[in-house]
Amino acid sequence: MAILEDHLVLARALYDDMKRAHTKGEWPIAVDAGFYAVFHGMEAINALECRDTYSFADAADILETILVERGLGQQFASDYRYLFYFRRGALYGAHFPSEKQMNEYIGRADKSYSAIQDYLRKADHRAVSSAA
Amino acid sequence: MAKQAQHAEKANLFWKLAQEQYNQRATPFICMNLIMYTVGHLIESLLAEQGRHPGSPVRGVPHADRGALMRRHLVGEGKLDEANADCYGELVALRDTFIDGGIQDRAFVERYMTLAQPLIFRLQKLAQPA
Repeated sequence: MAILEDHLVLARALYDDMKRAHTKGEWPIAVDAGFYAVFHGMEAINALECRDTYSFADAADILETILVERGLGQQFASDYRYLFYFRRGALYGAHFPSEKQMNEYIGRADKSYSAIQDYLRKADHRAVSSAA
Repeated sequence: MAKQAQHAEKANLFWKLAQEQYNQRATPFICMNLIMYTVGHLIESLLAEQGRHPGSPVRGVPHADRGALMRRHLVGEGKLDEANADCYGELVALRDTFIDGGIQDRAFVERYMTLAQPLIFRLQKLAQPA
């Protein structure tokens, strides 16, 4: 239920934290920051289009029923699910991720974060075009 | 589901990182989460000793069930008191990862650490082998 700007600022900070932590081998921070960078990026899109999530179940539902067809696509939805369940297993569950698994996780978070930035740039372009 | 030893190992790892990140004045959101994960693993380590593991709502995370099991078993058996359970509930309620109240700042995370520390110390003491 936050404003667009707050979601963007936090997503950026967490994305940078993910990169830094991954370089230092601090996998719990890299996993947490990577997931939440993507989550708050998605929330920025939702804020831009007058939606809020109240739970992770909401976020998944909005992604699958609205954001996929509005341009984020099925690959993004698949990557988001991967990030969500990997984070839950690694941070809440029994698992300690390997370096190879972390590289895949960071790769998917990177790709998802970029897809959000592309979506926001196009949305901004659409807003400018319709105002002209 | 994780076993007692895995929860204990993660609690130690997350508490080490939480203190380092807090002392380095890292992103408050990350500090807050590492503190919460420490508390969560310490509680689940005690519950796992009894073969109990919190469940999660569909597509969610297990904070609410962890709190319910903690109150029913750890408080119910006298290992923790009501104030400990209330403290856990407050840590979950204040966490606000959806930033409904705005982005967490340094002052927030200092209050969060101050609130969590006595509970963490209590849980660590309980989790130590006799």
